[in-house]
Amino acid sequence: MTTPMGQQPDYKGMFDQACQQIGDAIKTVVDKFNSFVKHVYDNRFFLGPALLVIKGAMEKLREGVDKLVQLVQYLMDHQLPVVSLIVQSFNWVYKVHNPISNLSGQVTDYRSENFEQWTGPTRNSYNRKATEQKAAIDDYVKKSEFVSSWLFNIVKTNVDYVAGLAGIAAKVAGGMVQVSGETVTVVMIPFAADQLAKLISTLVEEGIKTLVKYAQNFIGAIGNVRDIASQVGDATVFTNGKWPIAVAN
Amino acid sequence: MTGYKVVTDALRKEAPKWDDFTRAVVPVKHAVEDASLGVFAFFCGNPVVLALDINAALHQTAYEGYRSFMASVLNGALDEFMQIGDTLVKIAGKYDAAEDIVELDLDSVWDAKQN
Repeated sequence: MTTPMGQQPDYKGMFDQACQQIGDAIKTVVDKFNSFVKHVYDNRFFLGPALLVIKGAMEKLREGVDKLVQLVQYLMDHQLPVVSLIVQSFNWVYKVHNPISNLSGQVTDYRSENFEQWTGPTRNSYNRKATEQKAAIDDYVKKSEFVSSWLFNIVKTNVDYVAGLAGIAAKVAGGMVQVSGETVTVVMIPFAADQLAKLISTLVEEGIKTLVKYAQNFIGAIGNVRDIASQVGDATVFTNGKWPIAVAN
Repeated sequence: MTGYKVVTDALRKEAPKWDDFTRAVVPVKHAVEDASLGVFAFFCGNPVVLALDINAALHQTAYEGYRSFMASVLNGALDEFMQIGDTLVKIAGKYDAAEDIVELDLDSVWDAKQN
């Protein structure tokens, strides 16, 4: 039988790689920002009244960098939990769905051909109970498929999101390196500050718009809380939330 | 004339299959018990910076409800599979003990307390 597993890419590898790229990029961004601030500070007496112009640009630049840092910090705080989400999504397939679905066909695959010789009321009663058990097994398989695909949709939005954030962090790092504020001549500092502030601000704002789309995809993927509740509430097989009883106690 | 036909050895051979089912379910039950997810596990995007209302707690609660249902329902599977195996052996014994019986009392057959 086909499993959702067959269609799943290496989400953990993709997620870890993006987190690594983001970590590298944010280090560059913060280092470049700090050395630019230091460069301005070191030259404050030469800059004189131009400092007022620079101050506005530096604040705008700091604002952009801060937003990116907040996004990255939040990601780093959630990195391990999201990895556990990915691991559990695969566990529902490998450790739950697959072994249980393996039982279904065995219910009527008798270990002795002579089992088929058994007839009469007791056999009929056995058949009814075995059929109930098979239905429960099949429903359990269906329910494990449901939860794993629900989780995989959520995983996918997280992986898309970190890939998006990695792209933005790389662009911002590239911008910081390109303008290279910490090495410009004193005369050029006001221009460099203005240019960098505009560039980073645009990159971050545009980037956030993209990330919001991924976040909305997440809300879409997770939005069917009622679906998950109705799956639990579906009592057609598991009456009162219990496995069907074959043998009284 | 009896109302049944049976090869009791076939019933005894069938019983261990249900014991194997129980053995197959034990690690599944552990996997489901270990499948808990914290509220941080659902999304790594900062809702403040993204200015979005993301209620992860609601979804974590829904997932946990589902997961604990999936774990608890398996307890029943463990019991039933084992007892069906035992019952097949019991049925074979009853047939062997009284070859001229016409019918087994089904209520007593499908009751773990009665021999």
